[in-house]
Amino acid sequence: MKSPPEHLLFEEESSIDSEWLKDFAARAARSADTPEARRAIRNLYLAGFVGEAAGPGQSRIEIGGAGTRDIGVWRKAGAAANAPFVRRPELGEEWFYWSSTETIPPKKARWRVVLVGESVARGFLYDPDFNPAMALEAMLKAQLGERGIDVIDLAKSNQTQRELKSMIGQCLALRPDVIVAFAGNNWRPQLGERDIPFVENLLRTDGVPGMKAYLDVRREEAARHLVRQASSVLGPRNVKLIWVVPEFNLQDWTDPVSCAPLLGGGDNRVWRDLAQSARQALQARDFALAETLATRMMELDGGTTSVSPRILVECHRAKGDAVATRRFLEMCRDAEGWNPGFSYSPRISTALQDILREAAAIPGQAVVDLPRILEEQQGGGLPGRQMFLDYCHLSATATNAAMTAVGSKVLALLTGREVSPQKLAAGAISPPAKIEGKVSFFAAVHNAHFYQGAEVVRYWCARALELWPECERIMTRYIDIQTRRTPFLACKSAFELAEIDRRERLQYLLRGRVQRLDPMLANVIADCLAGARPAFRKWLADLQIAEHSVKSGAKELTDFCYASAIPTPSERGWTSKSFLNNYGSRAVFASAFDECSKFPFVGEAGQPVKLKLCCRVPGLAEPDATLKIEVNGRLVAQVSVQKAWSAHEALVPGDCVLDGVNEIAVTWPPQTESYQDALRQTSDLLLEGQLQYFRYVFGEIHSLVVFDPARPSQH
Amino acid sequence: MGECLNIVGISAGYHDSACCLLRDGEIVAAVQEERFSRIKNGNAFPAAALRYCLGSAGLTIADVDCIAFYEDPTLKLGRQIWMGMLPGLKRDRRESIRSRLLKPPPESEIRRLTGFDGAIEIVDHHLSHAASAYYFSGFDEAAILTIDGVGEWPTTAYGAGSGAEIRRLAQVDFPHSLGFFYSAITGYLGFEVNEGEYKVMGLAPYGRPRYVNQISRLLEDGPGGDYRLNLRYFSFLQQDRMYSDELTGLLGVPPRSYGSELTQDHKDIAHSAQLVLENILLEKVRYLHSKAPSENLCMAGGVALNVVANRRCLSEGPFKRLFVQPAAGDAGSCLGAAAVAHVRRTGARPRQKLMHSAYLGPSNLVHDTQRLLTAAGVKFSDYRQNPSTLVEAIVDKLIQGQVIAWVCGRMEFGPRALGARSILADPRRPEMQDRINALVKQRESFRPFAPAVLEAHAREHFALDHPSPFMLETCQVISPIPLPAITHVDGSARVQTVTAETNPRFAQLLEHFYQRTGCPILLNTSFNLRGEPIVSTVMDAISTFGRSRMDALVLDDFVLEQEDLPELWRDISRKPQRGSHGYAVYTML
Repeated sequence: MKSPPEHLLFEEESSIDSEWLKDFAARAARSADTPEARRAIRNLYLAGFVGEAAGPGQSRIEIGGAGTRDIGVWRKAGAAANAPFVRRPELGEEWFYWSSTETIPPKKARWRVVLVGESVARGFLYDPDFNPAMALEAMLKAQLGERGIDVIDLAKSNQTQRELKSMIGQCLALRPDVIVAFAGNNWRPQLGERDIPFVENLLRTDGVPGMKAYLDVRREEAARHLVRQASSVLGPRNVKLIWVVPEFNLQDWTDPVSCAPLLGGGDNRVWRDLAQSARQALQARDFALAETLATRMMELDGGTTSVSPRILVECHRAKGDAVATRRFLEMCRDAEGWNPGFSYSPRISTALQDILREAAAIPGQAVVDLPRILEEQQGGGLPGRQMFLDYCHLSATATNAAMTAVGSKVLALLTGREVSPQKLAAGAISPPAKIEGKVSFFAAVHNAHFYQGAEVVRYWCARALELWPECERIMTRYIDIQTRRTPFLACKSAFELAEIDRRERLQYLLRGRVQRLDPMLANVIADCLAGARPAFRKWLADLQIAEHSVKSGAKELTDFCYASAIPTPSERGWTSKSFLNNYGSRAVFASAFDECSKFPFVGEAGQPVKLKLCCRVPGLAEPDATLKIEVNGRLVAQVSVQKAWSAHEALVPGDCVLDGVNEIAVTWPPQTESYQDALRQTSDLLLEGQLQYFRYVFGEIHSLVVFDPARPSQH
Repeated sequence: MGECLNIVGISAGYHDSACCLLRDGEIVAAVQEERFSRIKNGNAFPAAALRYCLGSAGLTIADVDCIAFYEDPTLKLGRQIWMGMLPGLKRDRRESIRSRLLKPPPESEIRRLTGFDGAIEIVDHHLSHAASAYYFSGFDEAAILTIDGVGEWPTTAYGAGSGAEIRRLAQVDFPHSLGFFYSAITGYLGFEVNEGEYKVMGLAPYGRPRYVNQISRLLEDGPGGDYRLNLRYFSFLQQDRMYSDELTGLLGVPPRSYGSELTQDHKDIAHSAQLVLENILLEKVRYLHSKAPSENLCMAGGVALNVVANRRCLSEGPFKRLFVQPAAGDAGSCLGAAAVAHVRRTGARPRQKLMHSAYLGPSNLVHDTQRLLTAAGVKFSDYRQNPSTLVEAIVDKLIQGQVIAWVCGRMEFGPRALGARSILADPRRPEMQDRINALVKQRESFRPFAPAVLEAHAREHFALDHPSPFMLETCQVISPIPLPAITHVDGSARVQTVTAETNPRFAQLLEHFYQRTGCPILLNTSFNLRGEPIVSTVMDAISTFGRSRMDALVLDDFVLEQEDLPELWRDISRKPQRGSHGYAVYTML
């Protein structure tokens, strides 16, 4: 029997005219709209006194079932419980991130496996010709027959942890028996508003190392939470879950950094001196001294830069200590994953790998430990280019090794049978040489654009030509497109590329839709084609001059086309308005995180060039300081710069200019502002909700224009 | 550069972000950010527009003396706080108001994004509007009327300009707003608020004044310049909808859903709302004249884009001359902000007294276009050696009934295409309106296209006794030539008068068309697809042309034929992106 209500609710009404509040509101705004008042309001908000209370959040997972309408880019076609899911045309822009499957059929086989995860699971650079789901399905069908099992591919490139969580719930609508989750590379540190009160305090006292320690804990908590939540969702439904622990290209991958981020207590100055001495010691092959200095650097930087462990890698390599080498390479990988606003490349940390490994102890969950598998595959060596196309994306060999292990777990979970990996591997499929050739070229481009050196880019280009000589047609047309200033889809070469290969695969090359002067990649290709296409180098040089020489008009070198081609590691810390993996800044100027900034420009031998630089040194304590401008290593100007913007012109004499790509180096005045001031400012801005780079800014460039001195009006 | 006074004007953060450069009181450049971002009516900080404006004068940020911002954030915050205090406010609305309190103010954002460390002038929103019209009107003195949705508090401002001085005489404050009155009807009729108001205006002539009595109850005329909205019929203060259910009860017709059929009731409502707006505007214009007895009237603000109302204000009101700035909406207020900053710094009004033309945006370099077409290997005609033959060839096509996409010279500032980024056609052909809609515009069939006419011949064809270079006035078509493609159902047209001084190539085209046909008029509509901004670059033009089925594309000295276009070009453009404007409610935050 329903009990009578204990109270009644009445809406109160008011006839008081709200117009009377206008003066109050205007005064409130005036008092709130000062810097101090804004800061106070924001702090109170962060403390939870204005609006929502700060504190741990909640997350919910939709449980897929008969009523589920959408899964990823697929929508249920009809109301019937067994209706298929069909790809949604209106989401065409997103299709590239998902499997190219048009229709996901209802479950008909006895068992169903669903693969979820990130671009590694997608088969990045191979897909749609080859991918992990294909490999797994071929192996399983070889064991269980065509009607015994199917594998549904729900992996998505760029997938976040939140999306993964959602997909684990949603995919239950497809009635899987096993879910394979191959993810962890995109589990980047998150800096939400509720973290700011913690982080800004840690920043002030301990610098970026303090912040990193906090964000690492939060990231690890989130991963544990995900594993637990998945168990809560899948366990009662008797759906098994296999985690595949990702691995990283430890052997080949390097992060383009040379400075530490802002450290606590003004330690940057000490760190820089130590780094300089350690590099000198390495050069002198004094590994003991280098190790001592790098160890001290690590104590100061708290594992926030790969510079110090990289020195230790060199020291231990020289000693032949493979275990220590691997350990420090893992530290290199883990060191550059702390910045919530900027990423050099996706990766998984040792701590996150261990958390996934712990899932093996959860009933109904199993783990495929890819780092161990790859290590065994290579006989104990470091994972490198045999296993990886870039930082984390797998070669076909590694994909098959991973899927063999997954297949073995799937069979054990579903049938209780132990099937040896060798037996499973017999059912593996491998992409043909033509596809391997194409993928190799895609890998060359990808590595070049992610700041890797010419040696690794050369390896991939050479492999591409070796496996599929016709790849030369793709290479030359791609470089033709990159070198032109004409928007790429207006280039004849783009039409020709589209005729050579499927449009969806060309997205790997043309997805950014923004061209860049790609001198290193172009040079490597010219080297590789020297035998087959001896005229290519001359053609390339002519095209570079025709398109980019100052004779054809003034060029703004902070534009993406040029700034993306910054050639040496010292400038790779640049982030500017136009860098693709720059999450936060929308500023119309670029910031330098190193003492020297280098830009390429295209000139003609003997022809003078004029440059105009508009810059400032925000941290300058003195009224002014001297900035050096060098072209191809020769000093062309020393100018006086200030804290405020100033513009400077310099003439580059003709005898200093080379045919083709030249280099302008801007050396900033020595750092004068205290690092503590920079740290304080960073913390203040973080409180205002502004994303930061957490690095010392040596200088800022509003524009750097090169033009023909004979035609100044062009500029 | 130091001897010049360089002032950058910025409007941003609400809708129609834009930037301009005023150099020693002369307008050097002005452009909306949407033309670069390709997000229609986008509100993002105009970073690309700023780069263009500085680059067009060979300046860097170090040369900028002052940045002027087009509204006062503190005053606006007061209005937002007041809105947040109203009873019955929905939670998400309150949240969004609170988020304003937590955001860095525009001044900080300008400094952070541009790195600018000089003076920033904050200019009241309606003063920005007023200055954008008055200082560039060519008048030495004028009455000034600015009307929009809302700025800080004011929604309507009455003022007077004399020399360098602008005085405000009176104002009407939020929530009472003629802009919101019209936007509520726009939403009621199923069009996008803050975007579809001109559709209501275009629909009005198809209707009858059957709802005037009811719609008049939405507004209460007050003494002098005052008026009030009858707030029971509006819900924008509390909800994400402009009108309340009581309006439905009052009109007795359910609100039209987006995209559904337009009935006679909808047309009658549009007609009645337009009439009510015109009547009250006329009333207020008379009031303004009583306070500022000038022969000249300047108008700005979104409502000033209602060309039909403008016509009545001029023809039936007490003023003899009217100037409406071509970018009369928020985009154009960056010009006003810059002009006010100029006055504050020099004590004098900007040297450029008359805005002769709206061609203030980027142009495409001929050799870049040639390079692009050559690199593409596409077939094209090159008229660089003899541009007049290009005009002859295009006139041939127009006479044959072809639809021409026309990109020539610097892009227009403001919402109208004025012969720099236009679609052109023969206005004498009855089928042309449907044809253009089918080929490219895909817009409602009731909306008329506008004519461009040689200024010297304008009076022979239109009841217009003065130049109308910015297409911001309507008048009756009196032409002896039937002009079905540009004549609205009520016999009116929104005219642009063209002279060789402001757009020589376009004038030449009209002249040749006149010589061949006796008709000095062309149909002129903006070169864009539905939901997209007007094209700017050659690639924008090619992409839009490729996705339409227009017959030929003119790119300054080059001409492409539709059949010669590579297939890949037809689908190269990004998907149209939805603008930042709200659909159901005016985004008054």
